[in-house]
Amino acid sequence: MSDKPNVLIVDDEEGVLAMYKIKLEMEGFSVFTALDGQTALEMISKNKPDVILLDIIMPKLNGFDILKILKSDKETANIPVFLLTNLPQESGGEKGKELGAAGYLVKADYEPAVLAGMIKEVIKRPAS
Amino acid sequence: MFQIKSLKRVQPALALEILSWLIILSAIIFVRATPYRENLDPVDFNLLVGGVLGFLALLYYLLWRKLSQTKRLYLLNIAQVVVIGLLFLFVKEMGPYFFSLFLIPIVTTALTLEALPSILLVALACFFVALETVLAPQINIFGLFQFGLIILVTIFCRFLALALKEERQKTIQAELRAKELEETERVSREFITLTSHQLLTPLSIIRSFASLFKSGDLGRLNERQQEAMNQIHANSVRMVHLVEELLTVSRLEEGKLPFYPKQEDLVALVENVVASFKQKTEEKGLYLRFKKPAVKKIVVNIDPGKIENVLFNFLDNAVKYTQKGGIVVELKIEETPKRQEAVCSVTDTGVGIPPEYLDRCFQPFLRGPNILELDKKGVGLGLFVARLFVEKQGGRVGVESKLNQGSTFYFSLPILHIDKEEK
Repeated sequence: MSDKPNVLIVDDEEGVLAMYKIKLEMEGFSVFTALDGQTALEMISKNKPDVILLDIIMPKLNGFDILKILKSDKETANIPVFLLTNLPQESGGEKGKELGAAGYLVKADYEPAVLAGMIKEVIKRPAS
Repeated sequence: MFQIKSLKRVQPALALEILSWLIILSAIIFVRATPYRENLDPVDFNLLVGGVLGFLALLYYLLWRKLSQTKRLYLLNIAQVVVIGLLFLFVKEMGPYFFSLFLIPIVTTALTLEALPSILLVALACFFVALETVLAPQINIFGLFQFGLIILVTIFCRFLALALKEERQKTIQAELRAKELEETERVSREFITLTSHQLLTPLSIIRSFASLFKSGDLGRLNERQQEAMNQIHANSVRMVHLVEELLTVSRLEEGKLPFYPKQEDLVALVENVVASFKQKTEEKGLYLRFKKPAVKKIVVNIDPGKIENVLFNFLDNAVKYTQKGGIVVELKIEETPKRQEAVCSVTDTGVGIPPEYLDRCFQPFLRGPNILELDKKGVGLGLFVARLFVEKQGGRVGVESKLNQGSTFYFSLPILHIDKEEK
């Protein structure tokens, strides 16, 4: 179990969580999900994930806020974070990059298989 | 809006008012204000006129802020009639020939205010004329004639004012309607943006699940199940695409879609997009050629993503509607009297477009009947988006076509500079 890379998915849409969970588990990841930012931060502090997929538009804490918190903490600053959203690239891509996101994915543009490939790529990078 | 309207209406009247006061004052100065009542000293008389004017000025000053625009105007006009009336009574030289002076305040009132104030002013003027007639028996027919003229002009002005008012109300109503229409349009655009956003999330979830099923990730499907799942996947992809296009159009129209222009080599850009279609055309048994210009680089100032999107759209259509033959993409430089343009055209040997649909190709949601028969995919927003993308970047789009022989879609962009060195 422990050698599987941990992925945390944060999204307020249960359907999105279910779909990525199924696909990423099949790709050999251990998947955790959180429906809101607060729960996500608690989970991250308990169990540091290898990759985080973060929705941007969420009630209370939005994705950019969570990303800022993660990047300002030494413990979590190195975790690669993918921003996951339905907003087209131009409305958040630049801001995401500025805040240190590993990638910015428009949900409608990426098939789950493509996303799984991208995550594997990012996890491999520090090792190689 | 209404306040501004009524202000516009009153301001010229106020200007007229000031002008008429100047005329009256210069009349007083001109006739040197010699009173013709023997018991009144000229100096005393001038003091009297000065005093009356001073008193009126003070009254205005005190009342000015408390009164509405129209009431201020009315007050000024009453004061004018009183001053003119006093001039008639006390100044010898201001005989009946000057009755027409009454016209100034009365006409102003008739044109800008309601009927009742006008009648009151005419009555006030009548009172002074009657008094003058009693006090100065030298009044003549000409003076009376002038007075009749005053009343006639007043009536005429009232009618004119009514006609003007109607006209104004019509304009106001038309403006209101236009505003309402604009508001409805804005609301519907916002509605489209919001709905599209709301649609995208569930749609992309369905699409992704279908993709998982289709790829066999969730277990093997039998042949029928596989076919059904392929349909679900293909159609959800189509729907996601449609919603995305809708979103793009509404954001473009709202002016919320940003453009990131930079200097870009158009030759390389076109080459890359064409290359990405190699597989698709080969699968369909079509040829795909790129006729390069005889220069190394054509530098244009564009948002590359948007122009790639345009070319992608043209090529996608060309592949879709061509069953045999192939596609030629050509990039060339055209000189117009004003500037140099890069023109990129995509010519296919497909079904073509009937002439009656040609000029509507780049409008939203329109497809020719043959195209409809051939392929029901696509929503007709793609070319519209392409047009908006190109036009926003200073270019133009166009199409030429012969039915059953093929079509040429092209876009042009202004050139920044050309790198002429041969490759």
